[in-house]
Amino acid sequence: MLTANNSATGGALKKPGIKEGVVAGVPVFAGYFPIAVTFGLLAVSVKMTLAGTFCFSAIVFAGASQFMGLTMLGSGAGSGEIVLAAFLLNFRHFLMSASLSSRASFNKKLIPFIAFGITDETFSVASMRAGGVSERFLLGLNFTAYAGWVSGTVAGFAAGNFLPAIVQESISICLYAMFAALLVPAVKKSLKAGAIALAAGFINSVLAYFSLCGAGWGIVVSILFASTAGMILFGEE
Amino acid sequence: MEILVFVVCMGAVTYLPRLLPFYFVDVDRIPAKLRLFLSFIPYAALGALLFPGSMGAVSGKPLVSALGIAAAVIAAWFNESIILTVLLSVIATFILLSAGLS
Repeated sequence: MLTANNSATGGALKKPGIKEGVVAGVPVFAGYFPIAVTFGLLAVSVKMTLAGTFCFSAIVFAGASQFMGLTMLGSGAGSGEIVLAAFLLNFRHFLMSASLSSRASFNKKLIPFIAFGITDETFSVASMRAGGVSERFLLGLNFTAYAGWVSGTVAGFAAGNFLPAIVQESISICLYAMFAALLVPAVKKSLKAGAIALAAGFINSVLAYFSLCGAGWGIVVSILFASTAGMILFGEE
Repeated sequence: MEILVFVVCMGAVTYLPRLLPFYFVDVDRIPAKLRLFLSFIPYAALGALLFPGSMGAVSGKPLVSALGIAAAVIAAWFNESIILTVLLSVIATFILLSAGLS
C-alpha cells in the first residue's frame, strides 16, 4: 500500500497504527531502561524487596515521582507526605493529557490504557510528531516505553544485589545526579526556572535547618511556596 | 503489605491526573495563572529535592556528596544526556571514595 502524500489531498493520510507507535517508542525505551536500572539499584539501597520494587514501577510508572518517593522513604518521610508530594509533581500530566485529548477522538474503552502511559517523554514524542496521532499509535508508543521502564527496574534490582560495596556507595549519588541532569538544562533555557528551583531549595533548606517540619512536608511546602511566588512574580508579562 | 498500599496510593495520584482530562478538561479554558503555577511545579520540586538532600547523598560523607553533585552539574551544563551525566557523576564519586575522602 502506498503512503499518501497528503500535502494536497488533505485527509487521505493513513492514521498511524500500533507499529508506528512501537517504532516511535524505541528511543524512549532506550532512554528509560538505564534510568529504570538506576531506580532498581536505588531500591536495593533503601532496602526495598523485589516485589515492592517491581510493583512500584509496574503500578506507578512515573520516573520523577518514583525517585522522589524513594528519596523520601529513605529520609524517613511518612506515606501521606510522599503521596501528596507525588500528586503535586504529577499534576503536570494533567495538562499533557488535556492537550493530547484535544488532538484526536478516542475510543472510550481505550482511554484508560492510553492515559496510563502518558509521561513527559511519551507526551513529547506524541506531541512533536508531524502527521498526527491515533489511539493505536499511542498504545504502541506508551507500552514500548512501559516495557523499558519495568524491565530496567528488574535488571537494576538484580544488579544491585551483586555489586561491591564501594560501587553501591558511589551509586547513591545517582538520584541527585539525575535531578541535576534534569534541572541544569532547563535553567540554561529559562532563568525563571532556575530562580524557582533556587527558591524552593532555599526554603526547604531553611525548613530542614530549623527542623520546622518533616523532610516530606518540607518538600511539599517548598513546592507550593516557590511555584506560587513564581506565578505572582512572573505572571504579569 | 504496607508498601503495597503505599504504591497503590502513589499509582492513584499518578494515574488520575493522566486520566481525568480525557473526560473533563478543555485545555483552553484553564486559567492562565493556574497554568503558569502548574508549569513551575517541576522546577520547584527539583530544587526542593536537591537542597538540602543532595548534601547527604552519600551517607555520612558531605564532602564527597557535594563534589559528586558538582560533577553532575558541570556535566549537565555541557551535555543534555541524563545517562551520561549520571554516569560521570558516579565515576567522580567512585574516585573520591577510593581516594578516601569523606
